[in-house]
Amino acid sequence: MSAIRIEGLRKAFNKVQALDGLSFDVAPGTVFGFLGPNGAGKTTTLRILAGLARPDGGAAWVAGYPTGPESPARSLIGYLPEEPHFYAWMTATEFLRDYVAGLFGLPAAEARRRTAELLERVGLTDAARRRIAGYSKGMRQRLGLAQALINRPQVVLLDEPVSALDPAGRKDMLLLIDELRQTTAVLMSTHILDDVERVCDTVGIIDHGRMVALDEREALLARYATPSLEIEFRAEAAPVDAWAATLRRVPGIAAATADAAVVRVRLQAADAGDQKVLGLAVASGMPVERFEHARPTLEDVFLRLVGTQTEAA
Amino acid sequence: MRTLLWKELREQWRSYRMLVVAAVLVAMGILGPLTARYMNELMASIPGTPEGLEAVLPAPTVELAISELVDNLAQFGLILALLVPMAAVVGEKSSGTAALTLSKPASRGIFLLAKLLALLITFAIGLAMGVASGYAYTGMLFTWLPVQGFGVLAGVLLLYLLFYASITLLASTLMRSQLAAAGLAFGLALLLGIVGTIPALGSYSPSALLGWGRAAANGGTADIPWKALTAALVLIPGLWLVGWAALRRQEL
Repeated sequence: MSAIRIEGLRKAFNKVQALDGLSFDVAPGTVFGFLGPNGAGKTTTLRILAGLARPDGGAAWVAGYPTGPESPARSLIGYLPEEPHFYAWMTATEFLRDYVAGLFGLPAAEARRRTAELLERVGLTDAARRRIAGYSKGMRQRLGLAQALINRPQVVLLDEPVSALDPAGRKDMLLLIDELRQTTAVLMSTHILDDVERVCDTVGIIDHGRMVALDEREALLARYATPSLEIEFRAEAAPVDAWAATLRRVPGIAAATADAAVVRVRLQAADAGDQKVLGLAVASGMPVERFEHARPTLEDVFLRLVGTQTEAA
Repeated sequence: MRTLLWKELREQWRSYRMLVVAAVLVAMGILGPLTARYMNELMASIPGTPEGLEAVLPAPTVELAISELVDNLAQFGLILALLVPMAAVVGEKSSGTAALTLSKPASRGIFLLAKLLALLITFAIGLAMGVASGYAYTGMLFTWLPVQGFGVLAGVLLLYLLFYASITLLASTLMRSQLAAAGLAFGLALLLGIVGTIPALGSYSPSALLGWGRAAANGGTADIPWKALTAALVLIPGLWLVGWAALRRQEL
């Protein structure tokens, strides 16, 4: 049985179609990266799964239960909204131990133990007795993750879980999400493609409320990523930039971008052009420091699938 | 339910709402008999007061003290019942805390009921203190009346204020801003006041309860206003049910 099942979800806000027949499954024990440009429908999907919004059409199930405002599925879900809001007058301990654990009906001893464990895990033990009003955005996001995990959920819904964190906090949080896969299915929406590459087993890319790509991460990269080259010159940025501009006009080259002395070239096909680009690099007269095939990234896939629309927006 | 009620009561305490309600009602409880007892002397002591004013002003009697006490508690209590709950639901919806709570296994009906019970407890504490203060000052300044009558008065006032607090809670559930919620609640209270002046409907108005409380506090007996009592006892849960039905349909 799927941990999450979504079939033909439709949702419109006035004349804007936020979800347009969205369907996908999330298997237990996996981390599902939910990608898409702003306004693609990611948050709406998560809110429907959390029972906070109703679809206009289609249906969604969590652990076999249909989702909704009074659904029993809510006992099995941990939900972290994009900007979690708390009762600012509570301390983190009060919020987790007395409030959230109470809503899930955890026995007092279990609530105490779980609160201490999670505060330690998200690095908030020292601030546990401080009022949440004084917390930074990053601390609130960490507390948000702790509250989403207090009931040992079967399904965790994370909406941009690391967006407010510093690099160390982000690394720690991704490690925690990575550990969750042993017991939990995680549906994580994010804009940070590096994070998806690091922790997600499966990736779904949504655009205009429709799933435009869905596969295991490596399969998706293999299917959609176009071959890329990286050439590093020992030269000033200006001539390198000018050379990249001439390269864009060469048949078989999809894109060429310069960043200081490094030019990244996206080819239209695997067998088209790497030798030609090498020849042009040598012919440029600038000393070539490095010439290599770049590993395709999720960013390449994302830009190829939704990049045009995003840029237009 | 226990968790949500704990949160509501803790919030009433930490935000000083419970303290403010109690302080206002205690002040009004004291001021009622105090003004009844000393108003004439106060007016006489003001230089330039026209002669013969004392004859126009009512004599300081225990009945006047009770009347002032009931009017003060009902009027200022009504303002509190319109202001205290106005952010209860709409504030949580706009801040996002309602979404965080209701994504957990908490019923929306229980979410609202916890708020209503917290208001009941807040006003019960405030009225107990306010009526007790009024009882003490009436006793000290006039005469000691049977305490049971003041118990009835406190109960009647609680029902009266809870009715208006329920209206505000419903307005807070229906509206999208605190100001709109307060406006709707005030408008409905005004409408009820107007409806209460219509003879055929006045006996159903919560204001009709106040006469019963006034008579009981005076140590007398009065017919129980069954129509008003029944209307309040039916409408308070009725307003909660309407709020629940509305909240169930709302997206957070």
